[in-house]
Amino acid sequence: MKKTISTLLTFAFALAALGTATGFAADYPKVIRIGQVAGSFNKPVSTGGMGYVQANNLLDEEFKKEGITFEFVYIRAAGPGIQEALANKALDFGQSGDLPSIAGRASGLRTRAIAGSRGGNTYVAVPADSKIKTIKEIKGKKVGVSLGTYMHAAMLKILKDNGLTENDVKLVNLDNATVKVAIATKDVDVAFFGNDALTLRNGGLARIIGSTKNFPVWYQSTGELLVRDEFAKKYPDIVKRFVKVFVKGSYLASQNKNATLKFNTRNGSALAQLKEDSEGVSALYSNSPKLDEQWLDHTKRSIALYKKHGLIRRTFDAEKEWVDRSFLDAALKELKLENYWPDYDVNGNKKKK
Amino acid sequence: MKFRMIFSWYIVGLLLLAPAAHGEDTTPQTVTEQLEAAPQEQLQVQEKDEPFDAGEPPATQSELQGVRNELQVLRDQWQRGLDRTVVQTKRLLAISGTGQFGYNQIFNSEPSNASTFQVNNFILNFKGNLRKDYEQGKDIDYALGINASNTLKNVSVTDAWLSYQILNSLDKEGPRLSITAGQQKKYFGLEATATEEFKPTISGAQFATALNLDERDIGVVLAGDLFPANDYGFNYRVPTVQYYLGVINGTGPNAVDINDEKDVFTRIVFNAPVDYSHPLRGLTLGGSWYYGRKSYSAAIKNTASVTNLGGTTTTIPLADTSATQKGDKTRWGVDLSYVNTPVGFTFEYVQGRDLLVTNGAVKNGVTLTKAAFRPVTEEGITFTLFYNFGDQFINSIKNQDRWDDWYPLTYQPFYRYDRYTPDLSHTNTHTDIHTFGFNWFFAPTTKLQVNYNLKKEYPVDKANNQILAQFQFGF
Repeated sequence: MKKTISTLLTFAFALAALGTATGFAADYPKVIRIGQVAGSFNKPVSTGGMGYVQANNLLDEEFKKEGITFEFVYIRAAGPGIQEALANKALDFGQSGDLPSIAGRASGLRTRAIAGSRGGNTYVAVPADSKIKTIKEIKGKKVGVSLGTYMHAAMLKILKDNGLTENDVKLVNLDNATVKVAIATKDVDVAFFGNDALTLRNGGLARIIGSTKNFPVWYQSTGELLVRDEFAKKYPDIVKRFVKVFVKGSYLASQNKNATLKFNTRNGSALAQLKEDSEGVSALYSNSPKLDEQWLDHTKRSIALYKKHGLIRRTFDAEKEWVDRSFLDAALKELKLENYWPDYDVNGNKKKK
Repeated sequence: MKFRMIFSWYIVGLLLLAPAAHGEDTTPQTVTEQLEAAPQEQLQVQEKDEPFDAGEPPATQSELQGVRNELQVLRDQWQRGLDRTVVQTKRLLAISGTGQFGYNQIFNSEPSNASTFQVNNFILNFKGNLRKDYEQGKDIDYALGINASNTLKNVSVTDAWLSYQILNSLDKEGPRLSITAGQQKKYFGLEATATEEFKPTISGAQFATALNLDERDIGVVLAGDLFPANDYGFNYRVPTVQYYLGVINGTGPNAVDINDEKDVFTRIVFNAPVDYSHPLRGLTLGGSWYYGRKSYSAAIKNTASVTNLGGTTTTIPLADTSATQKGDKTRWGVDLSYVNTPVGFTFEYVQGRDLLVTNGAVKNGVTLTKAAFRPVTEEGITFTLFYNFGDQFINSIKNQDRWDDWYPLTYQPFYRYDRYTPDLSHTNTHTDIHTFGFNWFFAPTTKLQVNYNLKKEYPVDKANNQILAQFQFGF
């Protein structure tokens, strides 16, 4: 009898704690988590359209009645970390570059691409006193890159243009923060990374020998706003309103390029770096959420490229198995923004109506 | 004129033969071709936005000088702090520790061990790197650990090893191989290999202690893997095969060998080579084998009868002697585990073979009980089932940028069945422990564990169920 009572007491304790932990099911989730790639300055804030959403509390405003809390989660493991968290249902929405998003979907992760992004540049940097002058000269050198990210994808394209492959260089997998340090300390000979390279160059620590800037749009990255398929099925209304809020944020980010660049310095990036990186590119282009011809063509070609390089094991039909424009189309219509952002063609030009 | 016409038709012909405007094959392949094919209007957008510094006065030289001075002051302060208050080491060093403070209550009739607070272990670890190879990751690492156990009365070395990556450890798609020399864990099964941080239960499985599998030993271990599968979308690498081969003293964590023969062990693990989001991620099948030679020792109790002056005879103890016999010490085991989120299980079966020692007794030079050595086969079985509520085991969620000292709260109820049979020729003599447990991860590397052990001893059961609670904290 004593044993039985003790056992029951233990279970009671466990169940009580469990109840506290998980709460009880409601019509709406109490918390919705949005995955963001952590910046290299370790500041947990977003930029661009999602940055305006966050800064203006647009989600809280939209879902005030339901009392839903929105948590922005800044993941240091970048895009692959976002996929990991989505797979474990630790996130409901996530934004990441095309390589991790595509690789995630290709490996069976049930996500939907519900809005797009485009225009991320990759820079090829060497230590300031390096003798390397051209991309061709990096053959046989130690190359730092964050594997599995859009910079990895850009590296494949740049190497190919110069008659090289991954096998011609010694790849070192480093995260975004470490790759900067590795160039400064000369632990790698070459690094492929984002526009932080410009700040490193301005500080006299690096020299840039190539970039995707002013290259055809295929060289730049695309990305997407993802939602877990299960979440979208369960809460279609929430996803619809979430996308509407995201479109509002994208609209605010598209209004004034210089104001948006200044706003984007909130994550620690230098204004000069952002200004140079986006030179000649309109805010309308950079902040368009559309899943248009350019985005789709880029995605399809990326799937083929990643399969060829063994980064994914199977391909999939992006249009049929991944893209869901229903939420975005509804949001654009409701906000009367159907024609605000142009549709871009495969080369990044405005499509004629 | 004729030439121009032919040339024009040639151009028209080429245009007609050109493929349609969609698909990968039609897209210009080189940068130059693409730039010529499409001038990219978005790169030529006229900037209509307001200038960056509209309405703001330019900075003066004195203001710039002020900023420089502030930077200089900050740099000086930082350098002074480094010189005076920052601990320095000759090489990269990470200091970590694990403490275990617990409460233990046994429900039996003996008042001496009814309940107690205790510090089970306090482990201090120093780990670092002696050589960092950025090119191929052929690093040399070291570790030194100190453990104060048994309510802090005994202090011993728990880890003291040097490790070298023989193969390229940065190549995700290639095999890996390392060699580790020194005092370290033995790679045998799941229970003995898991570190304190990852064990769900407070007490280890019975067989791990009884067969000396959970104690560290001194020797050299090769550890490697083959045929890795990579899922780049998740930065996930899983080797299809992992193997371990060790040569050790076999005498325990802090002892020299007592014979010329070394103990050897090997372990092979097959992991499901699947993508991260595959339901079979975390499924592994393992097999382990251990062989050693041991000098088994039996005590011989010597006594003698003495008749005193009064004529009474009493028995007095004489100096004990012993008998020894060399024998094999073998263990083998298989294990199956599925460690995924939120649910997982582990199963382990182990058999050991030793010599069972019977102590002897001699009285007045006559053997009453002969010291004996009989081969005996032991058996251990454990099964653990757990469920996680929370994000403790999702690396990307644990490693995020935040302003606050946030941590994913996680709750882990589990059940473990643990049977140990000390002699398989008497299968009715064994002990079963059913553990109902709950782990609450409430801070980084810190958890509260509550275990209720329902203990059944066969063939004669005694009342000795147990409740254990423990804070395990790390830094």
